[in-house]
Amino acid sequence: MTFRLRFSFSEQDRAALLSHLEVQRALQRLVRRAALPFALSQGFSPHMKLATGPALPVGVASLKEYAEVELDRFVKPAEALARLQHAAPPLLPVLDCAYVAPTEPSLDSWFNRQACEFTTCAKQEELRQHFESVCAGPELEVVRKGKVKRYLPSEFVVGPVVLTGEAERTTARFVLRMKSTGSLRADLFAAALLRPFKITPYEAGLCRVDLYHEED
Amino acid sequence: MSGDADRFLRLVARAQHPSRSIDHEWGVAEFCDDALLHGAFCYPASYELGQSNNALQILYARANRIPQVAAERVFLPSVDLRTLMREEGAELLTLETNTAVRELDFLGITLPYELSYPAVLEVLDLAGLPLHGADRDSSYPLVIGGGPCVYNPEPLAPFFDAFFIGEAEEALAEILSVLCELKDRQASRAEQLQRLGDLPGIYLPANGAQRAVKRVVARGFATDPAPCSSIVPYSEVIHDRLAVEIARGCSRGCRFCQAGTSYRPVRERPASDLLREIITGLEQTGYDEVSLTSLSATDYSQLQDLLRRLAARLAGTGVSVSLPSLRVDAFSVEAARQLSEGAKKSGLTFAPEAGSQRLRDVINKNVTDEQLLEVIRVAAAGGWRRVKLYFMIGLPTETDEDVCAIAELVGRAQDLLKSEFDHRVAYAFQITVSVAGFVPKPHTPFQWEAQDSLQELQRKQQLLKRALPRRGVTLHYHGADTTVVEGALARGDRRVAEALERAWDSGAATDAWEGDFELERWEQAFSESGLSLEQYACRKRSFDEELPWGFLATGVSSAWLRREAEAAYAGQTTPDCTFSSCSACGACQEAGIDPGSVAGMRGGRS
Repeated sequence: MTFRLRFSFSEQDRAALLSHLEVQRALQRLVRRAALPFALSQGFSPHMKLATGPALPVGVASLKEYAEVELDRFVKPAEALARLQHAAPPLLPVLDCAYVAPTEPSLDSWFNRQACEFTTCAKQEELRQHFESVCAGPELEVVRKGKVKRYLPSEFVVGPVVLTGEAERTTARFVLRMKSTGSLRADLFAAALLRPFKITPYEAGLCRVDLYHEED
Repeated sequence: MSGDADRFLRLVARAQHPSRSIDHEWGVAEFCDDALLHGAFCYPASYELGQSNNALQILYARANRIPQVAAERVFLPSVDLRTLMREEGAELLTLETNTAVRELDFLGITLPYELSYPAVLEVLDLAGLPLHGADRDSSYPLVIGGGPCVYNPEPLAPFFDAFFIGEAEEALAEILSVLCELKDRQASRAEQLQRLGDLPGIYLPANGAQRAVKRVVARGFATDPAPCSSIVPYSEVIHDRLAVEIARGCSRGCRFCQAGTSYRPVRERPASDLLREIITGLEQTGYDEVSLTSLSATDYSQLQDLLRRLAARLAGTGVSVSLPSLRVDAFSVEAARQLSEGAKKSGLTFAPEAGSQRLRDVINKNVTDEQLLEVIRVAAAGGWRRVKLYFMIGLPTETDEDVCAIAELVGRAQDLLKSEFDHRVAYAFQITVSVAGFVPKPHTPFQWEAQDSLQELQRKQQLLKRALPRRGVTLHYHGADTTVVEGALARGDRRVAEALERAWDSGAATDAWEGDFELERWEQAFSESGLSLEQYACRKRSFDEELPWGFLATGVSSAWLRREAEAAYAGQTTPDCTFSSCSACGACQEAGIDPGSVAGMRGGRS
């Protein structure tokens, strides 16, 4: 019998520049340093049974990301949290942890919405008009390893953009649908929104502020 | 975050693999704001290469243990980031506190490889430092060189304020203490250099070779705790594992090998200490692999004991143990088998270096054809299906028959596999032959030798290519053009510095990476400096010639080097003193170590 320990951590400031693979590797080392009784896979190359939530693109920060490690032995959640927090690298502080039932769906399959925010000096009305034109506009293209992938924004954007803040400093919040067949990346969408204002998503502090599940 | 740091991070975010430049890894030092001396250790290559360097980690950890000192890291940014930095007028910053390198008190630069010399100039230029030491006053950091290439510092002499010759871990505290004192009373650059020059192992290039400079040996190596790599990178570096140095020095006596002379005498750490330090290192870092490093790890006398105890301690943890180099004998294969028990067997690597017995005797590589064939037989029987063999071409006294003997040896290995194993094993077995061109290095018995010309190296490469069996064999060879430039820089004198600066100026900054290399750039740079690249690389030196590095004393005597060169011509071998008797190289006496404690120390082993 194994125990599924789910923990959350943040990826802010410089951590936004880490790739998903780098975060996964850092988490495995974190769990080892925490001396938790993690389970190993069987086979020629045994490895830690650790899973993470949906990938966060390079250049995007996050208030709360999730990972799950299988343990061979039960460790009290408070003790597990203390150990994880002590062993966490400076850019990936651990926030909380809890056990989840074996029947719970995996992190990757459960989350299907992400809310993101960025801040820019654009005026609210300008940004709103541009948001609407990007949402109604043509497919956004991304080239990865020589392959072109296309995403139609209207298939992914959920609801309107929420704009807050004062004049010349607008915070924009938008929600994107995540699909098992492929998702529009938050940085790609934000880059399209920010293009007229000549600022990159990283410079605008693009951050995933929430990950959640919502019935379609 | 300072404005410079913020601006730098914005540039980093636009470059490839930005995680190289973000610092904040697990295990980085914490700095006091009021440290008296602020400096950095620089590896003139990418983060991935530099962060894998164990020496840099050792020096970083030791320096930051001193309360008055804050020592950071500096690496050469990738080409895309350098372009962005120049476009935006941004200068090179330290990794940890994003301080301008120009504002530091000292900059220690590792010299890992001759072709990395232009990258040193690139670092100085990006940092906004005048390239020449003579143009830097006390408002600039002291630029101090060290590392494997320091045994002929002359081609780099104008660019450095000082060089440290030898193993720095023990001497570092004294050097930094002197620098603290000088900083405290705001000493002039002239006084800084004068005080530094009085310290053991320090060579001041501005003063030239006025006296012999003796290499410093870490005498407490065997008894001091093994410093384990403590910084755990986020990005995947070249050696992404815990590295523990189990022994230092190698007395096998290969006559081409500079490390074989410059790290003598052989010193070993006790297995019980290593076991404790490895377990602690793994717990503290979270690595899932540990590498037992040494010039010749399988020569470590307590290896079997250490591997057995490690296997017991690490069972069920998913931690693997690796050895970086294997000697050509069955013991090594047995050690590899112990390490890979129950796991996938990736491949084994051996370095016979030459194809014929005659040439192996010349270079003192005490390996026979039979030993190599036996190793391949044992490897195949043990489940391995891939073997990589390192050879050199262009070795002293080499003939075409010696080059073709590499192909014959590989052919015999394939015949043996066909005769002793099922055809599925024999045909699945892959042999990779990796061939480098011989470069005569300072402080070796072959330091006087001629190096093969570009055309001769290329001819021998083609000869070997034609002679090798086609099926089941893959041939890799190093570029002959890079080999010639490496040779010219390795044995160059101070005049070569001008050519080096010209080559860097024409775009050779990252010539250590072959993709960027252009021979014409170097030929032109030498020619414009009134020098001949080929002459520097290929000219045979006489025993009586005064060599540019002759004032540096590694501990191994010139007389011994010459005796070894003469033994090479006579085809005579010299046994490893740790398995037999002292060969009187002089290293133990110079290091203040009793030769009797080294000679025969591994004699009980086969």
